[in-house]
Formats: sequence, structure tokens, C-alpha cells
Amino acid sequence: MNTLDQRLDSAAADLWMEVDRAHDTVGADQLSGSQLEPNLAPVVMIRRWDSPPRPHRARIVFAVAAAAAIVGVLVVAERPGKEPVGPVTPIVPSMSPTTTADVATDRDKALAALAAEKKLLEERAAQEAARSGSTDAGAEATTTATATPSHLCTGADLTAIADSNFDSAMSNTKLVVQVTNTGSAPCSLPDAPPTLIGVDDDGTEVPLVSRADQTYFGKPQPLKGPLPAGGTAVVWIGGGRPTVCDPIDSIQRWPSILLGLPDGTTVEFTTTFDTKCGVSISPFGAS
Amino acid sequence: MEPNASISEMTGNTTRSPADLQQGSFDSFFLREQRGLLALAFALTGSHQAAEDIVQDALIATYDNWAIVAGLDQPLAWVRRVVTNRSTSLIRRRINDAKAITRIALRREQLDRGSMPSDSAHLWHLIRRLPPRQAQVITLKAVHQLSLQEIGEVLEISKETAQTHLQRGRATLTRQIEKGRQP
Repeated sequence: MNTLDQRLDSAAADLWMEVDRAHDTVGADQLSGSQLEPNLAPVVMIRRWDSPPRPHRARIVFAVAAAAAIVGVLVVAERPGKEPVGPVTPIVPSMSPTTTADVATDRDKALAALAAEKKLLEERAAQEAARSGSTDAGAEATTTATATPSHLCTGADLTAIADSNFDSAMSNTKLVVQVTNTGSAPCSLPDAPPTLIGVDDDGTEVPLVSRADQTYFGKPQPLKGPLPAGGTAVVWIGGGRPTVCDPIDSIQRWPSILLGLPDGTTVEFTTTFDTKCGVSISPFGAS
Repeated sequence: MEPNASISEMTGNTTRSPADLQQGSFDSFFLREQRGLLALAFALTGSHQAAEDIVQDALIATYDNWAIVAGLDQPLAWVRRVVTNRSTSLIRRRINDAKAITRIALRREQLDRGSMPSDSAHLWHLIRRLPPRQAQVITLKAVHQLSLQEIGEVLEISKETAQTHLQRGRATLTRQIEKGRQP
């Protein structure tokens, strides 16, 4: 092992200890395994600039680590709406993990469970092999059983083109952006709307969306399953009413706009769409 | 955690079958992986607060798409990719931010550095200054002890490309360390 490898190992060990140290000190009581009830997925609805308050839904406001260290409270506010929302009992895991000892215990348990799982799988595989032999039917069954679903679309899978004609109604404008899966395999688009980022001449990225759910014009029909290779989907972008923002005669256009996907990658398109009065965006839908 | 524990012991890095991950729901995935994701984001950003934000956002994205993510061959690889992408985006945004905001962020980073020995802190500082892909490959290798194949799966690049980034990053780091030793 040369000097650089030794230094990297040492730096990695220090980094892990630093992470444990830093996250042991703040709100470490919020994530012990015993607090997570089985089959109750934690609600991790935290602050997102692209997720404005939605009517008819409970809104969970999460006080993050620094605030949690002082206050240690979670505020759950329910917005009024026509459809009452049932009681919400969220478990919001802090990003501040368990203590080092807890982590070690959890890891030991996980490792033991994995060892048992591995042994069981090996036994099952041996039994399966003994039962089916090397017949074609057996091989086919195995292939079918291990088929994997499509992956989530990333920026590398998609291209986007904006319609040059904008629809309008009651001074609201609508832009349709078509995305195409240019990859060689199907991929799944996220259920949540993409984020929208304007890129100016300097390359500075500016978040644009003021409402991420639907536009004045609604939203496109939901997609039916993954986007096949070569398949297309659309996302609708709505522009605000120019009469409600100042100055009325100004416009805001961008050299390019990015659609942001959950994994942090983006898909670029160009348009002359005016975003000055705020924009809204729909989820991906059928074209 | 024992100070002299091996990296693999510290990371709890094990191979998990998709079946295992599907059986365990999102909460068990969260409990198992969030510490490693924090370490990855912290290594790439140098800020605990930024790391927490990035990992929270990544886990929100994971939660929103859990039905799909849980069925992937390598769910953890997907989430690690989200974290590395977002860490890189954060760095890029910081570069583009106004100077005042950058100064504040840097001051916060200095506060965030905490008690890490200066040698290690300096090495991570050098790693973060590498081109993003090189920094990502070296970090995944050092922090999670991933093979080149696994790194390629996380970053959606070939094993050979990962090897190239690793070699270039290591060469740069070696040069910079040597340069730092010169009087």
C-alpha cells in the first residue's frame, strides 16, 4: 500500500468518525430503530422550494437539525380545505442518526440478518437447482422471476423540446415541453413534477417554479407505465397573468431552461416563454 | 466505534440482494443507509449542514419513487448517485452564487469542519477541488470501499472510465501532496 492509499484510508476513517461525532451531538434521539414502527413508512416531507402548500393535504413543516437542537419539536399544520384530511401521525426522521453505539448495534443486527438471509437464499437456490435440474423450463422460470423493472429516467435518458406555440386563456399562458426517451431501454418518469431552473447568460441557475402540482390549464393525462425507448411524454408549464406582476411591460426570458429530475440530473430545452410573473408546472403526463 | 476499526467495518458495507431490500420497507432502508449517505455527501461538500440537506432531499426523492427504486437491481447505487449528483450541483451552484453568499457558506464550512485531524481535513479539501467525476470516484472508493465496477454502477459510467478518473484524480492528489511538502 503506498502513501496515498494510507492517507486516503486514514482520511476516510477520520471522516466516518467526524460524521458520527457531528451527528451524535444534534437530535440523536429521533432515529432509534425502536421508534420506527414496522410497516409504517416514515414521512419525509420536508422543506422543498418546489413544493408549495397544496390544498386538501396536511402540511408537515419540519424543523431541521439546528432548530431541532434548540427546540426539538416538529410542527404539523393542517391546511384548511374542502376535503378534510384524516389524522396525521408522521414520523419524521432527523438526519441526525443514532449514537455510534446504536449504529454499531444496528449494523450487527443487520449483518446477522443478512447472513441468515444469505444462507436461506443459498439453501433455496440449491433446492431449486436440485428440483429443476438444467431444463429449459427451469431456466425460463428463473429468467422471468429475476426480470427487473425499468430504471428511473435520468437526464442522460431524455431530451426535451418546447413547443414554439403558447396556448393562452384569461391572460394565462401555457407551454408544452415534450420529453423523449432517447435511451435504449424503458425508463420511469417520476410521479412528482420536475423542478424548473432558468439558466442565465453567466450560467447561473435560478429556480423558477412557484407552484408544482398543476397549471392553470390543469395537467396532462397520467402516464401509463414506464416510458419506452423512443417514447415521449409531456410536461405543462404555466405562466402567470402579466396583469398581476410589476412592471407589467417587462419580460423574463432565459437562454435555456432545465427540467430537474429527482436524481439531480437535468434536461435542457430552449424557449422564449416569459417567466416573469411566476410559473407553475405539472407532473409528466401522456403526450 | 473503535478508532482502529477497518473501513469496511465502519461503513457496514455489505452486498444486499434486491429481495432483502424489497422486504425491508423504506424505513429500514433509511435506517441502514442514511449514515453512509451522510458520509458520502459530507466528503463531497465538506459541510455537515449541506450534507444533511442533500441526503434529506435524496431520501425524499427515494421515498417519492420508492415503488420503483426498491425494485431496482441496486437501489443503494441509485440513491448514492442522487447524493453525488446533488453534491456536485451544490458545489456548482456555490461557484455561481454571489460572493457574499459564498463567503457565508465558506465560513459555515469552516465551522463545520469540526475536529477532523488537519491532515485528513486537508486531504478532503484537495479531493473536493478535483474535477467532479474524479472527486466522486475517489470518494466512493475511499469512503465506501467500492470496486470500480460498483463505482461505475453508481455513477452510470463504465468500469474503464471510472478507472481513468481514479488514476487521474490520484495523480493530481499525489502531485499536490508532494507540492505541499516542498519548502
